[in-house]
Amino acid sequence: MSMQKKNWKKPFLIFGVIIVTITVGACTFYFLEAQKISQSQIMLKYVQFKAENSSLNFTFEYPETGWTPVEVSGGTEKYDLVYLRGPVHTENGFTTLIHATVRPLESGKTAPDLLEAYLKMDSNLPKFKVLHKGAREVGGEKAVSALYEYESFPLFSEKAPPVMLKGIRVYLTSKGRLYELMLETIGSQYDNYTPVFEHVLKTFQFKK
Amino acid sequence: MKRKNRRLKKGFTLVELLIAAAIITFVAFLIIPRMVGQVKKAKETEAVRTLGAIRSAEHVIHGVLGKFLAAADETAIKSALGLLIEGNKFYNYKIINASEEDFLALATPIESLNNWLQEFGINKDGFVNYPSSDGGGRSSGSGGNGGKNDSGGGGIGFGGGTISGGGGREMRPDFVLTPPPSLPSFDGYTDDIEQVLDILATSTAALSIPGMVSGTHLADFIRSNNVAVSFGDAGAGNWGVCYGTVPSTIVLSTELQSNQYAAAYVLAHETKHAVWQDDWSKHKLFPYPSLQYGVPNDLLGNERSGDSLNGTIDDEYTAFATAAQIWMDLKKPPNQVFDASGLGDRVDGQASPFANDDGTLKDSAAAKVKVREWYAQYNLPEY
Repeated sequence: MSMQKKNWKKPFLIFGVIIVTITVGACTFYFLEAQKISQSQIMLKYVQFKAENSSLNFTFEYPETGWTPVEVSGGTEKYDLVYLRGPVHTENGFTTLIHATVRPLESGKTAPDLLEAYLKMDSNLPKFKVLHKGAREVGGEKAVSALYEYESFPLFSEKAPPVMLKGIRVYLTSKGRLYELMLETIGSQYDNYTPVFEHVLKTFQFKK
Repeated sequence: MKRKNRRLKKGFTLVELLIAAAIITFVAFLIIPRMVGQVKKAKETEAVRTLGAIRSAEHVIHGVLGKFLAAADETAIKSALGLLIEGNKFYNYKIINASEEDFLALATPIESLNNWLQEFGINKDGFVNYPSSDGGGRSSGSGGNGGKNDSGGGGIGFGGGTISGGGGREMRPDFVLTPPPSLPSFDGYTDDIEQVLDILATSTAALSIPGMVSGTHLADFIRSNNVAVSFGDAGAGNWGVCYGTVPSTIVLSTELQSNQYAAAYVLAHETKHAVWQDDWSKHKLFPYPSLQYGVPNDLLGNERSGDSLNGTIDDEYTAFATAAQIWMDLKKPPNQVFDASGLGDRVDGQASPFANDDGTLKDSAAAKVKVREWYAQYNLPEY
């Protein structure tokens, strides 16, 4: 009987040691990864955006790594924009973007009017909801903003569940032009990218 | 004695070593020939795809000039067919025996690979002397232009496009992909596709994208140009794909068979690609004095100019916008476009960033944000 007991105990002991080792290893790994992430956030270097397109008459700072600026002008429509191509969400292929768009301002329109118009336009998006509206100063001008969310289906995964997207739009006008700055990303990732967008807003300046 | 026994236990016996060596040799005999075969097949892929593109371009040429064209090498092929072949690592290409009836395009292995790879060719009907055992099945669906592929073969283009060898690029879903060997050729439409075409044809609302008139027009374009449309595998996770063969080949995901309205929505998206693609091919290759479908050059941008055949953000936007307008029209009562599977909801979610409920298009700058969010990872140019 005592021999049998010893034989049962040994595999359990080995199994236990393996489990403990794996657990300690996993905890150490995630701890180190978390450290890396926080360090990388602290050490994030910013560079200044310098537009090639003269219609983009502003500058701002964006992270040196992980974000690529792309300048675009409308084909038949009148707009100029630069967007920062950010990280790709590997689970559903969604790319986090920050846009800065310049459009001609229709006479008599104000930034709050246009914010409302764009929010209304998106109101037929699935589960679209405005979470917060606010006012602030950007580039020395008064600006209005709206935080919103809506549901979207991954484009290249026909059976994947929908994802909640979250974004913020900031509108301001200056010298007959409407400026729209926006961040849109996966809802669960929103807080991770807010500091980058806030830095863009904080450093946004019109060229003199 | 005890010490001696212990020492013996530490090593391997000769029999054990022999058995291990025999197993390793046996496994190597099984694996190595297969590996060599796969490498050879991968190299042949370059020729298969390039010859397919040559065949497609020759068919377009024949459709206009009434004859096929010969070309002595890659430079001559570019000059005659507008087909740029670059980065070919394993084969050289030429077109011989060109006449009004037929042509023969040959892929000849470059000198150093002469003893390993085999010359083979393609004529107007398909592959000739295809070296692999499953070659017979490849003759009907090769060719195609533009696009990326997920193997080492490189993308294929014609009419100012590029064929780049090696350096596999990541596959971008939708639009112009390198057609798989089993691409179906046109053989009429099955009943379920006819039903989808009929539904598409019921949409008479005016469309806003250049070259797009209405759902009726799109259905008519498909039928009158013999665009092959079928339900099948549209690629991992895709609802639909438009291969840039001439005429185009559209594959809709089998998942869409459960909702013909959703299928009509996806078909509208892919048909927009087909219309622009067809217009571009004819204009670029010959060129036509004017664009048949009136697609402005600046809207097709790089794709038309041949700088990029991988599609553009604008090209995808216009396809989404076209499909969204048709979807909003199809949704109007009394149509029941939603179904228990939730497919209709998914389409609604995809269409709503592009069109309002009344079918008018939303601000394109704002709508393109959505396209970039889904496509930015593929580094598509804007126009």
